[in-house]
Amino acid sequence: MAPSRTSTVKNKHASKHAANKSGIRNSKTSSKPQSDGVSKSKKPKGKGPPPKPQKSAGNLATLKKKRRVYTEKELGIPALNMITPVGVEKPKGKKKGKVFVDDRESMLTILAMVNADKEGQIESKMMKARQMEEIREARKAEAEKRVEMRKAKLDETKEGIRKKRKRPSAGDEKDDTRIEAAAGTRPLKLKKKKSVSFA
Amino acid sequence: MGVGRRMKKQGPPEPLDEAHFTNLKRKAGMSVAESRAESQQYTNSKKRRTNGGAEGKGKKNSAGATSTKGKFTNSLPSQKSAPKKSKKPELIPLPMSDEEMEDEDSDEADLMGDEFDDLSGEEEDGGLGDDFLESGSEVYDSDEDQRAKPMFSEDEDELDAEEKLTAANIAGLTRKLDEQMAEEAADAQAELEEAALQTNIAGDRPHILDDDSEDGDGIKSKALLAPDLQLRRNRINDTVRVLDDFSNLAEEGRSRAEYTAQLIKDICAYYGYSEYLAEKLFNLFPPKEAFAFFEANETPRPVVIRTNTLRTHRRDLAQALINRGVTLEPVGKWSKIGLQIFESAVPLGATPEYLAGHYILQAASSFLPVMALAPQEHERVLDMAAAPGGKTTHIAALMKNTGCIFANDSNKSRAKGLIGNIHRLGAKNTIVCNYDAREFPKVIGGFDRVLLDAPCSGTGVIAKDPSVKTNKTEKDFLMLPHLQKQLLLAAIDSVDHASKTGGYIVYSTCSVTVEENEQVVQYALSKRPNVKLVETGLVFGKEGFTAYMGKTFDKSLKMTRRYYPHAYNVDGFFVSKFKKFGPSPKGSAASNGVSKEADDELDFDKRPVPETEEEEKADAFGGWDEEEDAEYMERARRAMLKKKGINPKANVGDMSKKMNGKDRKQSKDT
Amino acid sequence: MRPLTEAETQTLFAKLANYTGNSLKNLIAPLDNSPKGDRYVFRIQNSRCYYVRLSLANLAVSVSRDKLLSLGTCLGKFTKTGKFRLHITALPILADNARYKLWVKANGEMPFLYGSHVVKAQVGRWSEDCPEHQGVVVYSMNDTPLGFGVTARSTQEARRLDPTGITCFRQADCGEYLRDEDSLFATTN
Repeated sequence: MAPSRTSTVKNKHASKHAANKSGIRNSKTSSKPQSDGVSKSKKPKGKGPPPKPQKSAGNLATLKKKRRVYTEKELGIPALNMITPVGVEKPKGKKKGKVFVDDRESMLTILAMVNADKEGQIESKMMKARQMEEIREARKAEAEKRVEMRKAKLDETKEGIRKKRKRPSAGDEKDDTRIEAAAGTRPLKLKKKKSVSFA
Repeated sequence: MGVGRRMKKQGPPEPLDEAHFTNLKRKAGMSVAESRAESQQYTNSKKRRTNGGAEGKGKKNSAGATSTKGKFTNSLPSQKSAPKKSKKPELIPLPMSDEEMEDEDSDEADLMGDEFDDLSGEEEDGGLGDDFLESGSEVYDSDEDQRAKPMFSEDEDELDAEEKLTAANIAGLTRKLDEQMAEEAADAQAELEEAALQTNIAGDRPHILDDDSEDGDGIKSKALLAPDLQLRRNRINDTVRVLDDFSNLAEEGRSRAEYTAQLIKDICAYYGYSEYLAEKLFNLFPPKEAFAFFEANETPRPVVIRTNTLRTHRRDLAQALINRGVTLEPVGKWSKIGLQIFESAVPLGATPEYLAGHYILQAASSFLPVMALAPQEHERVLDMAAAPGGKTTHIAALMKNTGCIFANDSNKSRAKGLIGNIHRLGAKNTIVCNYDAREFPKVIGGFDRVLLDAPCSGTGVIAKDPSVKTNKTEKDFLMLPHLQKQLLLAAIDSVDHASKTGGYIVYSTCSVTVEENEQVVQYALSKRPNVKLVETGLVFGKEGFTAYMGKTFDKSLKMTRRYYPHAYNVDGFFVSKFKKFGPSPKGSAASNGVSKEADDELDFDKRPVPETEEEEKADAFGGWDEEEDAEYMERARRAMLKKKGINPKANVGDMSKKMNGKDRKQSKDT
Repeated sequence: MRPLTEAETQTLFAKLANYTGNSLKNLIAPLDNSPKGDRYVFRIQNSRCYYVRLSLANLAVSVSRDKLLSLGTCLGKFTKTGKFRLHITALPILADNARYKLWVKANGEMPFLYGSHVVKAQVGRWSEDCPEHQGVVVYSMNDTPLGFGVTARSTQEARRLDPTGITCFRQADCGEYLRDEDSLFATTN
């Protein structure tokens, strides 16, 4: 992000603000004691570094003065009508209107950001898809098992009913079916039996 | 008849004659296969040559070529193949234009033939579907041995050897051909004379003119009311014949002018031209050729597509289209990217290949100006009237998407199609703008090449747009050349004469009139002494006029090229190429003086317009009553203004009076 | 004509990255290694975004704004709401750098070119591991790019799909050159 022109400008702006604030709070001495008109001309000159030596050179006396100025500025509404503060508000070096991105570096940074973003999205999508897939698989297996179980149950009951029906009719066949049931191939055998009986 | 005409081979073919046209008419009933076979005769001979030995080639070719030549001599004794001969005199002096063409660029031709032989070989190998084979069989199958022995590009060496052999034999061959040709010509002459005699005996045709003029207006108006087309046609034929051999066939005491007038009248009635345009076009040619021209305007030109070399190769494209059931063939030896379409099972403007930008539908004639322009890579090129983009994308393809093309068109709605084509064909080096092209050196100059395919009357594309026959008036032929002159000067001024690779201007129109072509070029030559005409580099085409109807033009106009539908089966076209060798005169070039110059030109040219009109009218109606007219005009103007809700008394009247006064003064001056 | 702002660049790249993935950076790579070498840049003109060589863009400066209709390759347009809409004209650029691809069989070419979505029966091949709602470039079986769209299912899911199920939603296809010429290149405003 840093190399993009916009961001740098913004940073400048931000730093200026920061400097201002810090200067104000930390007694940016030399720039403030003068009248507003002067301060305007000086502010753009000293962004960050100049105030510091001043600060170091600053006296206690000027500090007081400056504080007064500062308070006036901050509280006095008429200050808004003056030309200077407005000019100060405007970042001097910055161009008006849109800020264009036309150098390769800044485009690359944006690109990298976008790409990372997209990559993450795709990644998460894939993850999600995989998870979904897993869940689906599990559910499928479960469903299959359940179907199997139900089928078994159904068969069992069917068998039970059949047994019940058959018990009274033929006593000797009962034993056979019981054996088959134990072998687990009940339905097939049963069918066979049936066909035989009908044939 | 349309189909037959479309089936005809494109390129520098034999000129047409009446016999040919009647043939074409008959052809309509023919099966596709038959007519294809006929139209392929030419190609087949070429293919056979690639297969057979040198000797066989010589024989077959000579046979085929002689027959066409026979037609040629038969039909148009007046226009020999002189232009071609003189154009490349350093080459082996074969007597026949066709043959000569073939040998001139034989290398290229063989390469190309090879490319396509190869293709048909692939066809076979690929084991394509049944129905494909069926459709294809009509095209390529006629040549059995060709199929049996597919050719591949490796065979090139063989071909080269064959070529050498041919060169060695050439003297002998030439002699043989000469003899044959002489014989044919003699036969043809005899036949012609016989025919002439017969018709003379049978109908005493040359009397036709007499009937009309003696009986006077009665019959004429009758003929107009119920024009018997067959009768008209016969009479046109006869008149042409008479004009061709005036001393022998003309009636006693009849002037050439009478016959001509009659002929033009007949042409107007038969083809539906306005008399003005018919006369203008008729005067471009000898009577027989004029007739062929009018006849050719009734049949459509072949459908041609241009391969977009930015996306594909012609061979691949041809294969893809053949697979879709399209019957096609290379357009001619002169182009490596054109394909002529004979028939298509699918709409050619909506195939996936089309949409993917592998080709563009473009008339063969439209290849020519770009070929003449010959743009090089990394140049800056201007296309002054670019829509719909066929030529622009052609330029981009030739430049391989390098450099820069300014594609300008003054019409915004047409520019839409231009942008579409540019994107579809994948041209990345274009800037599309929407200026009046006359503004150009002011917008940006310093071009290496400029293509001006000027807006024109379209007299070369009457087959495509028959409305031209009636809607072009004298005024158009004053206004259009005027615009064209301005555009051409702007084009010249936009070019950087110091360009290392370029400094060329190509001026072209799809019109055949002298006003829009030679006269415009002549005007530019006289107005800009810093340009000269150079060879177009096109392998065929007739020389431009150096003299016409009493006007003489610069000798160098020989280097311009004219194309006629009846001669080459392409749209009527004109191509000229300039080289700029010095800076434009001060005040005219680039920076400031352009608009002023344009205005000057405007004044210079516009003034004669009303004058000539006036003069002519004066001649026709016996004078012009200015005062009386002024009154009428004034009244009409007031009525109009009132209609519009403007107070007619407000100042406008004064203006008109002033104008009238000025006019009068002018006419007095002249 | 002007370069893009930061926000616009981001929107554009986000859109393009749907189809190209990482190879997007090839788009802005310099064409040669010389310090003054030419490179491709993005330009906005009449709310349409063009991808164009820098040298060409610099030449186009001499054309006034109302007279400049197009330059280089049009990628698409910025909508009034600040979103970006890719046009079919961007296809060559997407196709060169496509990450996920889908090939339609011959039976699917024409339906796709007439504006239909791609159903499973028409799919010839498909990039593996493609998530759903992911931008893909659609090719014919002979690798001719035909258009682009977004997947309706992930590759795995699509395997279970029945033949008439939609696998890819069409966003743009070459047929638009015929169908939408008027709206693609708005030269009237």
